[in-house]
Amino acid sequence: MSLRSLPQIALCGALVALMPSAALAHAEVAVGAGLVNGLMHPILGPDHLVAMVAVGLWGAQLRAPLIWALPVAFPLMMAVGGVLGVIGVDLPAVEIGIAVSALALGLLVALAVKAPNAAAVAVVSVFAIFHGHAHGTELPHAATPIAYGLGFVLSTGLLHVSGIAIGLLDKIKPMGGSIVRGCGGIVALVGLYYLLRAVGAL
Amino acid sequence: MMRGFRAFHLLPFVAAAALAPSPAHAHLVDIRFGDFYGGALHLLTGLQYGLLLLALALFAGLHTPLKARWMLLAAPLGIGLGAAAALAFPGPQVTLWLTGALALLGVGTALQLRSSAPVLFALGTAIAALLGYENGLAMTDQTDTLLFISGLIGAAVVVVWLLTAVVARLSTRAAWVRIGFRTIGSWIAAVAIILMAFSVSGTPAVAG
Repeated sequence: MSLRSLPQIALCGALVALMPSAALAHAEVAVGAGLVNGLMHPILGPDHLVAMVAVGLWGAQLRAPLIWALPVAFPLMMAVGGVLGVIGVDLPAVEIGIAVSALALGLLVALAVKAPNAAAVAVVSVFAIFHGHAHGTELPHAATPIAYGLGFVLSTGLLHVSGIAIGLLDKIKPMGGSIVRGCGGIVALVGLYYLLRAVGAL
Repeated sequence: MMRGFRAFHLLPFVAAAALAPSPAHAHLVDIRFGDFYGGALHLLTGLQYGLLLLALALFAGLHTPLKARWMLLAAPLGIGLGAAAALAFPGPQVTLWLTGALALLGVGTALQLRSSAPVLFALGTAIAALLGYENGLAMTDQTDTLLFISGLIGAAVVVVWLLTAVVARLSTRAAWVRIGFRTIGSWIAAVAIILMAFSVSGTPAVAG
């Protein structure tokens, strides 16, 4: 196709582009946008992202019942933080809390710390409040709060599942455990970076 | 500009234009059974309504199959009663109550709370009635109420029956499947709790 054809192509392209499609007066566009915003919120913050994966990693390391108790407890406690954020209750040092959660959870995985069930749930629950608060403060700004809320909860849960999937390598000898602990180390480093940034050291 | 124009240059674009899909309406929703589809779609296209149907199915499905069967009756019965109540006693929307019910079912699923068959039936009927009432309020003077309510019930039957059966069947297969359903319950609870706070606080939603 030569350059001489370009005008014809442009003309035809314009005609095709102008073809009418269905005009939806009440399209659920806002729902889609809210869902995508919610889904992306935990993913676009690397400190959020690694902390969520670390919850799954640690759960997998600790085995049953914590492999499922941590991902069940986290969203419920995250909701508490979300409520605080939605109603406008200020939580001190939220960004620092999120960075510390990544650092601490990363270290727990890297050092393969075997915590009692109640202690593990308590640790994860406290951190969940900070993450929930960060998501919750954004919710009133969403065009469709339910879609946004569903998005970030879904995203958080799927990141936990990803962490569990990676954490299951722990069972594979001889390198699996080292890989999982290495992932914990990476999480801790990311957390440390964000902690230093949050306190203004970087 | 058009020198050298060849009709066959247009052929690919004509073909593309001819093949461009447009919405296919196999069932014209504005005639005859339109209000039936209206009722069904009203229930199925609301995100919160869909979540509530899923939550009902999850909560019931994690009981024993014998108990879960009660939800198959409770859901359509409640939807029908609620929609009829909306016709007889139209009032304000019950969105906050629906969100509360969503939180209750989500927490119940996450913690795998067990209830007796009569309690499960009563709870399912009550929550479905709220859902039916909320959806029933959408009926206007021009709506064929029988068709609309039939659509609501039909949609609820299909969704709740299928999902309850799937949950009840799969949760007996492996422990991790049951855990997966409980995890979904915790997600539903989290969304509902945050939404309740949002509704109660009266924080205005800002577009964008």
